[in-house]
Amino acid sequence: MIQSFARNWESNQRVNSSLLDEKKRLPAPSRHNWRPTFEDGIPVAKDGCGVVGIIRKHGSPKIGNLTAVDGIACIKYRGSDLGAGYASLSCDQGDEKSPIRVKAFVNNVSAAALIEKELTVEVGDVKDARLAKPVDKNNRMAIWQGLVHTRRKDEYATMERAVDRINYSLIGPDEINGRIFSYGRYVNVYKEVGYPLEVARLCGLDVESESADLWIAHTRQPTNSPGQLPIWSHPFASSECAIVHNGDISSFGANTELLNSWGIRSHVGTDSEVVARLFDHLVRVEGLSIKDAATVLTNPYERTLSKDTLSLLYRYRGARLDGPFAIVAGYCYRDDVYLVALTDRSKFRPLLIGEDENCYYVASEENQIRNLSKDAKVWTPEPGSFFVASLKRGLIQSGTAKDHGLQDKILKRLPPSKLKIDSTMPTIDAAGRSSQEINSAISRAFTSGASGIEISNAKGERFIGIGISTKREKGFRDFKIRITGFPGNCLANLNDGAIFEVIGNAADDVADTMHDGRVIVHGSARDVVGQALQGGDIFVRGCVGNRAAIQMREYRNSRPFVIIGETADDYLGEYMAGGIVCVLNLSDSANPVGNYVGTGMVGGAIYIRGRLSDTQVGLLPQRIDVLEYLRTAHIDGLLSKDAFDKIEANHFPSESYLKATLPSPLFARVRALFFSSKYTKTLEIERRRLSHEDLQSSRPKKRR
Amino acid sequence: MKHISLITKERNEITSYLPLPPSRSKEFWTKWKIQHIRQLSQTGHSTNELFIPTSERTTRVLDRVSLRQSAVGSRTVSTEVSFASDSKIRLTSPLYLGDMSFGALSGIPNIAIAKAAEITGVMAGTGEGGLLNEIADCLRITVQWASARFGVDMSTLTRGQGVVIKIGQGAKPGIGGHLPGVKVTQPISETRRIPIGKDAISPAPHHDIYSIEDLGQRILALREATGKPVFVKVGATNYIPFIASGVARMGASGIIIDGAGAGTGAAPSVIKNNVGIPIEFAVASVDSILRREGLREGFTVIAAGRVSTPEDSVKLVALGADITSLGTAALMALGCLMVHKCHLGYCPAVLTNKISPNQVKVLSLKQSVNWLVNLVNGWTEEMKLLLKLAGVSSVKDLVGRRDLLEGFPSLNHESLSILGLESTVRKTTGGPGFQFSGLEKSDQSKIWSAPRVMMLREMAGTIGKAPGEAEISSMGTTSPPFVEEPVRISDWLVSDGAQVTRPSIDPYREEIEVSTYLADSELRLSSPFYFSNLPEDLPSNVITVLARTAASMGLIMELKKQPENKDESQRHSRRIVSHISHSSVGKLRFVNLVDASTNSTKILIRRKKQEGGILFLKCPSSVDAFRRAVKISDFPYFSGIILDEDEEGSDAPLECVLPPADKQLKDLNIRSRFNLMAQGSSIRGSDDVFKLLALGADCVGFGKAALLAIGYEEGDQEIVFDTQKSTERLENFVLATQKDIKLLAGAAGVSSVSSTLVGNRELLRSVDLDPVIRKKLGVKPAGEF
Repeated sequence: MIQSFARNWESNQRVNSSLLDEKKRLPAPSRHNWRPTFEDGIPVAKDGCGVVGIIRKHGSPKIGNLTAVDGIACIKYRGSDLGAGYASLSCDQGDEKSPIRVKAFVNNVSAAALIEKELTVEVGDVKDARLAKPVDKNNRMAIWQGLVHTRRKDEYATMERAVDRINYSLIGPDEINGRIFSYGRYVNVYKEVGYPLEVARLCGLDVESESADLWIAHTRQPTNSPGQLPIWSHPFASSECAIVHNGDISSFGANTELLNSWGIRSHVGTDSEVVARLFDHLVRVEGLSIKDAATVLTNPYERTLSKDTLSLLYRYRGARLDGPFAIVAGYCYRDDVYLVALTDRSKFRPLLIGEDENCYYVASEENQIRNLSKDAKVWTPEPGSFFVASLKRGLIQSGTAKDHGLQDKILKRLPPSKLKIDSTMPTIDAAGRSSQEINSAISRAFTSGASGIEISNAKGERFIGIGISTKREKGFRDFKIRITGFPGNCLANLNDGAIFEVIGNAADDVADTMHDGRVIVHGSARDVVGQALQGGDIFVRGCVGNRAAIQMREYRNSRPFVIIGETADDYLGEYMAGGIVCVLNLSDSANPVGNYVGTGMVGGAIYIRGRLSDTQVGLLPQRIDVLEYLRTAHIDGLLSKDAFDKIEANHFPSESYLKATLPSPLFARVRALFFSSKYTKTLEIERRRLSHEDLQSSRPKKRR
Repeated sequence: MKHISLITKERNEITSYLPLPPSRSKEFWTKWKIQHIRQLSQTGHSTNELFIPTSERTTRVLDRVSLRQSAVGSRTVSTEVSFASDSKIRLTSPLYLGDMSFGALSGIPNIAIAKAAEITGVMAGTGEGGLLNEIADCLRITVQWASARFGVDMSTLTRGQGVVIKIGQGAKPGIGGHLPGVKVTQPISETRRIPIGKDAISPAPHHDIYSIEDLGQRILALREATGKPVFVKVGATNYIPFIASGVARMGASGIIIDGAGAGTGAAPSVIKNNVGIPIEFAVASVDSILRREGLREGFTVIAAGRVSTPEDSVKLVALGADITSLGTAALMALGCLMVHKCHLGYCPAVLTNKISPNQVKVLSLKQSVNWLVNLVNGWTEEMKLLLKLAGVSSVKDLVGRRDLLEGFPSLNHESLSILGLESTVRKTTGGPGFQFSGLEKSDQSKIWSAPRVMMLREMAGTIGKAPGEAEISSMGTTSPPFVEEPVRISDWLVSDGAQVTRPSIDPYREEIEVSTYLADSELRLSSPFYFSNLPEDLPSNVITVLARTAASMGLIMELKKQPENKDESQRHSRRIVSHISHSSVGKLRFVNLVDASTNSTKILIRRKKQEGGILFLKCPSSVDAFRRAVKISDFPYFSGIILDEDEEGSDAPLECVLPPADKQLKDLNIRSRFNLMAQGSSIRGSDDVFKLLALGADCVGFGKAALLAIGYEEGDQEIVFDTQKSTERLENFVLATQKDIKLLAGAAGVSSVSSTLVGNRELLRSVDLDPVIRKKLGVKPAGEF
């Protein structure tokens, strides 16, 4: 009922007081009687924030709103009914003389009147002020919109101050009367409480209605703040910048303090809003370039910094972000539109970049990009990196130091399957089917005695094949699960003997706690491949993301293998306690692996083909701390000037280098303080050609 | 599953309790509590003391809540509860014998717990250690899916009545586990499916669960794979209400919340003492948010952590739990003496010793099962009697009946309101419960308590066997404010443990930056602390040790007295902050606020600044003095202000002065290039440093803690002081303190201390702190949402 008039809510509804009570108090937050929906006794997945961003390339047609809806609605399962939203940006949608469009949620007419009055007094005349009907499905908050004609030169600064003051007065300790959620010439924000499709309907985005240079969209899974009101939905906007965010920022308290000191005092309490304000402020007020602002926010490790970046980060230390995040931002700045994507230092949240002829894409899951552009070139940004593309300048920062086209090259030359297809092997088309249905089909195929199953058109289906044990019945037999497409997270978890083959790319957490069997991925896989792998083999032809083969271990007669055709990101083999990892680097990448290789490793071996610096292995002390210790030793006469100078000139004084250079009592101290701990083992690094003995020693143990 | 023989008849079996040793320091598990449990375990019936006697009550909040007795009473009482809404299993009593793993315990206790649960009809959690054959055959167990996946495969997962995804535990939220290789013996290797003799590491977070959405995915996957109810176990931390609501929304059957102070086989003391909130606050706020969001029905809440008497169980149910978990209490029933030495492998009651077939002494399985069955029966009987007194006929009807509880007058109104007991008492103070008594009154012996000094010395390697490491201890903490007496306001503050919504970070294997920059990034400290507030009459070789270590470890040191020219410390003047009028050569100088406006000092200030000096203005710990400081005319010459608690004119503790000082600098828009430092002689080490950073300091200075750590006693002469050894000890202490800070930061999900922690009061919560002081600090009360 509400939806039917929501669709044309913008059709010139003047403020009509009969629609709203004069001073309606906010009722107690609604009771969400949401429980998992059970279908055939199994709950349907509802989890996860999801984000998407799309920007058109110069010369390509503008992007319609339905594209944005498609890009987010396909991952409805990542979010909840507690909020979704969209934002469009177009830099030709006006000029410096155009009025500024202001949008606000209001809970009563007095709030709308207050906004209009205050904006008029502080900024300029408000024209075309309109109030929609209460569009929220809980029939609570309406949307007020007006065009502000500014009289001043520093209109954004004035606007920001006025908006903050108004917002501050609208939220009291016990009631929420309203909130201005966007103001700008080039930005349009639509957000509500509900799933992405519902919100699209509520905002009139479910039919073709608007084209733009850039769209971002979000589906929400609230964590640290409530979700009953649309003021908590994403995107969050600040002047011509809008962001969507999946994460939980631990620096939130420090970031809020900085904003307060910049005079921005009104917060709805989510970390995402804080990020929008920080980004906008750094660029617009502090005058940082988009790249510098992105650097401050992503907060790179101290050991990687130049002196200039160090002082930039020091100056804006309250703006640096910590904790997990994947942020997608759109910014209209100086006649250009930018799509920016940021990942945290450890890349704790999923993020992928895509590109085709017409657009660049950023998304939480690969299937979102494939949904919009089946054959797009897709790559993974590195931890602690950022991606920037603009309408006029194209790709500015790819988000990876590696060849960002590599994964696509591998995918474009997928080999035919090596598994023999048995004509009796059942097939299932994954399109339109849930993970549960696919898993039931696998079980049926196995119990019917078939030699395997073929699954086509996979697109994001999670935990395919979980708990399939081919050992449970009458000894072991080969059972093949062949998947074409892009299966979702948790493929082959707890696998105990089955053979999985993916003709395409796999997602996160492949073969978690696998005991036996084999997983072959002909494309690439994302983060955490082979976690706690205790038997069997994993082959990935392309690249893997962060934390591949972590906690892999040998046990009794089983020795697991992880063979990677191309490259791996950070923390390869972390906590590893046995087994063999091999990074073949077949395309001769200059950086076959990321940093922190083998950190906390207590057993097993990792083979890497290509260049590897000592600084990439294990968790090392800060260079500057070691040097300071040695400088003091030199001042105290324990180390000659020559020796100290030589060490200082070294890029990184590794343990082996120091052992060879330092007098032994001094080295013993340096080792105790900087290179050893009760909780870590010293890692051995060798650089050489492999010999026959290596092959002998890394043979699989006696197999079944 | 391979059969492992742990039960042999030839060995010397323990069948009776050892006498309790005389208590040396304050304990939560007092003699009375232990005797009470022993009595229940020996008789299987209620004792004649249903309520904890007043003299035995600690300052814990739950100890200051009492059960109202009804005039009517109830005749019959049912203690039967459902375990999970999607399971047919019912418990005869709302008890869960909690989650202690094979490996943490030595085998017999594990088997006894599982068997006793089966006999009495309650439930036992098996922890993350895989399943022994004897346990796998028991029907009333849950199995754990934890970050290391120890012992997990389809056959173990489907053994129990449910799967527990273990995210965190009350004693150490946000911290992983580490079993040294020597303890990974054949039986452990077999059940955990790990290589013999290799360290077994449990990562701090699950690397497939970085968010609530990831957790939902795992709940679903495990439910699909096993068809069993899935529970999520977390520690009680800052965001526990939101975490619980997320866990419920994600389709879990229930949540196990483990409160601060809970037992553990081994954990860094700094985490045990400073992370997590009490279970009573957590249960009350979780129950409230779940009801508000319509998620409470059909969702099981299990409360764990310091459940020490049947009275505790009843009160926690009345606050909103469905079931309470007995962990330490179960060990007490098996003869635990609370010596806090589980991690060393020589438990006198042979509960936690190294698992080896050559053990001389073992626990009698028969007797153990007997004790535990008695414990459950006796506990249940006492709960029934309490319910009768309260006039409630069934445990199910008791859930969330806060009207049956009454707070002691000493509880402040905020604590009462979080517990949902606001209407029952007037806003008064007094009675048991500590009040902050001001700066001067806390005497030195209280500040430097015996456990504190021991900890400092172990970190330095002055005693113990792990120099340079965070101190490790076992079982529950005795830290203030709920057992030991608090001496600083920081004792009422706890830090966050990152769980579910963001991953915690493991400082031993992952990068956590603790360096801090001062003076517009010109001066770098390797850690956010420095040496200061040293006694005036310190021998010169002690000064040399401090100065050398400050330099070598990348810190700074404040030196109040004029160093003699021959003093060796002068060699390291690049890291010494000396008085502006001293003739020493370093460029780091401080100026006292009282002198700053005199003409002679003004001249000095300008000259030193021209010479490239870095100047700090030292100001007493006082909001007024700070206000005066930022107004002095030469203010722009300074790189930062040092708030010194020892300075004359100090009128408030640093905890109260830092937040307004930080805010004032921010309001002046100069905070980003101006440093705020805090120092005092009663700053006790890493935990105080961490909390003062969160309250707004860039770095924190202390002196006495370092001197005590290296074994220097005031008045010691040069002769007894070994310079070489002391330098090594001090270096170790710096390193260990740095590791403590990394542990606290990592637990809270902070990887960059200087940018994320400083002024981030959101990471702290206050526990039962006087609301007036709390507001000054700008810290939220634990359990508020």
